[in-house]
Amino acid sequence: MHRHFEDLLENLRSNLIKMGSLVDEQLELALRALHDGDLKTTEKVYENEKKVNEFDNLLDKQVDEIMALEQPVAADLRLVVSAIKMNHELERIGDVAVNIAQRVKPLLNYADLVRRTAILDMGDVARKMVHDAIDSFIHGDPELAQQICKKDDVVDEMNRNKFKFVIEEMEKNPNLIEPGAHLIVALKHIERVADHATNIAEDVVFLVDAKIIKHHAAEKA
Amino acid sequence: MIFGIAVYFLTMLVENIFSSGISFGENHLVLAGILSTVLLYLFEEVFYSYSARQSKILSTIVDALQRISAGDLSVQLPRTGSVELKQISELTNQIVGNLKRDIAKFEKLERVRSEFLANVSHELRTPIFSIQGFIETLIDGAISDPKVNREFLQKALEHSERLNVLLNDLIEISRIESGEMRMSFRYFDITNFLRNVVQEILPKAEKKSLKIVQCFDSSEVLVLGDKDRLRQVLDNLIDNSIKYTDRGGTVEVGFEEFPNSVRVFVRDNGAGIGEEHLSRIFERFYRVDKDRSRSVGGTGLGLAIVKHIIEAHNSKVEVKSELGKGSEFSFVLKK
Repeated sequence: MHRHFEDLLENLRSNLIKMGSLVDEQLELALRALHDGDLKTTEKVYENEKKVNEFDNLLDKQVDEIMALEQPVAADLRLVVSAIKMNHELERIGDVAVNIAQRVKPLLNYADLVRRTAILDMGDVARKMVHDAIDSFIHGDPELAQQICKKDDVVDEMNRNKFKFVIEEMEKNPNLIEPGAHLIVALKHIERVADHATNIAEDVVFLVDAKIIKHHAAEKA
Repeated sequence: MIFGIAVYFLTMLVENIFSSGISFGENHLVLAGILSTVLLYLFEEVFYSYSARQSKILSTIVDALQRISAGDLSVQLPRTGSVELKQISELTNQIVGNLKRDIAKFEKLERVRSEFLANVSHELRTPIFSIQGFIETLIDGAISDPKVNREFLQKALEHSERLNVLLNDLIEISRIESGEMRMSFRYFDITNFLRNVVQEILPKAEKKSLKIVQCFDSSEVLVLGDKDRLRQVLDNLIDNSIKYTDRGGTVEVGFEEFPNSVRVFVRDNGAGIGEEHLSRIFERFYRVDKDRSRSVGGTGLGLAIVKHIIEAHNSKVEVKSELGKGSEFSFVLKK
């Protein structure tokens, strides 16, 4: 493999990690802002979003260049294909972090409801999934990636329970209908974050083991 | 010898046959018979000697295996005999070699484990005995002496805090060494990171009238590393500099930028480390000055933890130090 191609791949990998680092931080800030009702922190989330979008475009360009000029095969091809998919997932997580940050303002005066819903418990699990998904990519660790996929069910279950709790609160007190609706949206966003983390983990398994595990494909085969 | 005698008798026999006037046809048959006998004899001789040789080699191997099973690992089999026997000998030698290596490794591990346990026990015992001593003295009457009761309780508290720090370090090092601790590498701004680290440690330095100098400008420089673990490294290194630098001294924290990397450093104009200690300071519980180290609250594990974390970043901690003039600890991070 010639030096130029190696550099292109290394650069691609490095930019994916940079984008992952930004998204990881962005999600942490959004969840913290939601829990603490901190509008100042949401500014940093919006700021990061611009950088994440720049990385999205940059990675697309790099992938186009590698595909057009180098025609990668085998593991190199898998890296490029995974980069396309992971870039998309990370960009979506960035968007969702912004969506979560947008819920901070409408929920500012309902800190008690936010606390009682324990939205951060669910947020922590989803955030850990994203964190571990990025780690599994950096370390090329398919075992860690497989563990992430299992955690998705935990987040789904938490979402169902918390949804039920918020509905009950809304039924008890009609004043909580509006903040409750915002909380349900925030819960849905967090649930989506876990889905994106699962997708990244599946991409990592494909990248390292050349196995497709999404939609239980490995079990059906 | 036996073969020589047989050849002699056969020659005599052939000469007698020819001299007795037997016809060519009969002569030919007799010759064939004689040659067959000779060949048969030779074959038997060769086969016998070959079997005897292989059997001897097998006995040597069996003997060697018995010695190995009895624990004698000085056995070394010669590469001789048939292809299969050569393979058996080679494999036996390899197994013995592997066993020797494994045993040496286990012995070393056992030695390290025993030394570690001895060190841990000693380190734990010191604060425990101190706490015990202060409490016993208080129970024996000092509790009602207003001149000392508060001071003794304060000292007991300090020792229990030291015990806590030591236990935390022990848990940390065991997690690192068992591979349980996974690094989370991310890109982050080293400028902002170092500024925060210095900010938090500043009160400690000011308490000792030390000056902390930040050797970097404000521009953003992204590096790859585990932020939380590097925080631990910097805390340890700066804390050491503060501990071993006299009042009025200076501690510099900063980084140098290269095209693909960044060299982070912590330097001071403190006590410095003698050259003879430099190669050992990263060992667990190694202390340059035992009394001083304990008096300033060191656990003897800080630099071992630093070394492990930096090695997990595919880097190495570099130390430059001169006794009485100061020290510099540095490591390189990828950009």
